[in-house]
Amino acid sequence: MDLQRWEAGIPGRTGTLWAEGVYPITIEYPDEYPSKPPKVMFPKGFYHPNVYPSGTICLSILNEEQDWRPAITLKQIVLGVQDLLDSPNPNSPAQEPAWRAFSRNKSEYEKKVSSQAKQYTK
Amino acid sequence: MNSDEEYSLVYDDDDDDNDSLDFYEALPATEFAINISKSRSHLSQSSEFDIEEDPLSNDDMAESMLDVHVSASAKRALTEGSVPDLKYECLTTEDIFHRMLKRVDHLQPIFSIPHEDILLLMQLYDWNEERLLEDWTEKMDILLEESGIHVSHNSNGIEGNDKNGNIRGVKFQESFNCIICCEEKSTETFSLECGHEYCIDCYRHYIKDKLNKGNVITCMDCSLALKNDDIDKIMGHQSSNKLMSSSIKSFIQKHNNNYKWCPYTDCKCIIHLKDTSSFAEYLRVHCSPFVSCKSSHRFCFSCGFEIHSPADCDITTTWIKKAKKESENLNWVLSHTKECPKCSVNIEKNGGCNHMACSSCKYEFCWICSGDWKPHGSNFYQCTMYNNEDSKSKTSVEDTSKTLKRYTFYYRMFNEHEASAKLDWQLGQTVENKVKHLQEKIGVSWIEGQFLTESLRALNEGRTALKWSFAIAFYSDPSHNLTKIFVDNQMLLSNSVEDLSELLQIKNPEKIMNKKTDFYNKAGYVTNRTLALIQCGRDLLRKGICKPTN
Repeated sequence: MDLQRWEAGIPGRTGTLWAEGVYPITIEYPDEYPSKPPKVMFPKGFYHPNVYPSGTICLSILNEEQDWRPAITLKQIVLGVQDLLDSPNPNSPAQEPAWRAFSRNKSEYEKKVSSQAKQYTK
Repeated sequence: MNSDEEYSLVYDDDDDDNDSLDFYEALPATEFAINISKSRSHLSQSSEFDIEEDPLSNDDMAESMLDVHVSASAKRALTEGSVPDLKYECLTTEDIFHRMLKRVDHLQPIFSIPHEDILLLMQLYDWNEERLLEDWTEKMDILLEESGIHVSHNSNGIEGNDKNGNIRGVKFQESFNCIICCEEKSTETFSLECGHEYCIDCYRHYIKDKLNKGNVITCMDCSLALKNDDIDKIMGHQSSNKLMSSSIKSFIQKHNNNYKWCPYTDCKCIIHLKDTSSFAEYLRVHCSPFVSCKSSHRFCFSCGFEIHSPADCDITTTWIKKAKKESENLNWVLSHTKECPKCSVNIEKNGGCNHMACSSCKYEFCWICSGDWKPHGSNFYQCTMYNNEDSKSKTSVEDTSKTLKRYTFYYRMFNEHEASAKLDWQLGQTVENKVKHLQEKIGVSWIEGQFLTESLRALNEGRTALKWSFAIAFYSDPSHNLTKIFVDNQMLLSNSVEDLSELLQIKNPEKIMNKKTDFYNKAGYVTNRTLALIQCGRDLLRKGICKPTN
């Protein structure tokens, strides 16, 4: 058992495109935690504009250089990630397909997100 | 336009090329003598000069003396055109920080906020005074809030804390519940005016992780900044110095066109080029704009590599890249194999006796001396034959048709001289002892003993020039006449360097004193040969005979 590596599921918020699924994440705590933020990852290839192809989430509160503070709790993190699902930030794209669809072709984006939700259904 | 200029420059040079071409060839005996006496007079002059200038302890003098000689020889080597010398200074992070503190003193009347706060702002602005002043005049209040000097109104609203109730600093709390480590204990705590209070252990961990970054450290929950005073209170005396020096380091990293770290291991010197305007011109005329730090480490300011004349920075970087790419393979081949003396196939000996039979051409030879096996007879395990390296290296010189072979040769030479240079460095330490010995044993004055230090310097300079000349030679068109002259020059320098190196191995102090004239002669000769080689290399570069190719 690795205490520095946690697994969890983020349920999509009801009333959104993501509602049907529970999305698995891994949370890795670095040795310097809490001076350094934990690394939160979706599965590889997760479809979301702010998720890198590796699955790493691009979120300001998870970035040491930006808004990470040692006092930020796990609850705040997972709520932040849940919030990010349905309100992506188009100004910090992390992968091309989802970002391109989100900003140019909404219907394709919605289709992809719904099918992904079915893949991770409860 | 530019090429015209360059052409005229080359052309101008061609004028004195006629003289210097003669100079490339071996110097006639008489001229040689004159040159030596010249360099000798130069020597004594600067020595006297040093005494008047610098009545310090012997050690300090030795150092500054070295500097004077270095710069003097640099001038002789390079000042032909009317290009101004490089103006630079050698600093440490502390020096730079003290300068910044002075700037803060200067700014204080304008800002009229405490020194500490200005220091924090400067740190936040990467020590860029102009940009800070600009922002300060535009949006003073926002800046104070953003930088975390004043409590932000927003975060206060969220927390709903009573602003006045929180005192900045370390307190002691009975049964305090820290939400970072989730422990309840009686402990010292720290908080800023924002009221986010955590136990001192958590704060110490947090700050320790942040000290090396050099960024402003904030409260663990909001963006209120910790000042140096707070850091010292939490971490102990003068811990904030570490943060400041990290911040200065990142400042240097960001201003690397006029600040450079000395590349030598463990050297903490920073060279600051005061005037960057003449640098481009200087670089165009001289191949390697070298600077020397306080510890007499000399390096090229342009590429940050060790001093590499006669090669220029282009040749140097291409050479090093090539060396890196090929060296792993080549090093292995060089250290583990030998060439078959007959068919030149590389052979690895992985066991057995020294009686080798080439698997490719079936030639039988001795592993130790690479000679034919037949005369060895029954001496199976010990070769007593004299290993004639010279004849072997000569054959490989002739056989430079294949590029890799050619490269291998130059790389080997380069490597050998690099290794020798390292040994010379060790020799330097013994020479220092020798000087002391001379003083104590025979009662030679310090000045009189300096010919040893001077010889060592000449040896080092010669060795470095020689080493890099192989990079030049490799990239030069081998059919050109000037290349041939260059190679001749290489050989002359190589011989003179070896002579001098041998001379410096003498241990007996009396013998050394008797050979004093020899030292002068040989050191002077090496210096002249180095100069000639550098000039010749520069001409190769300027005339485009030597071009970096991959």
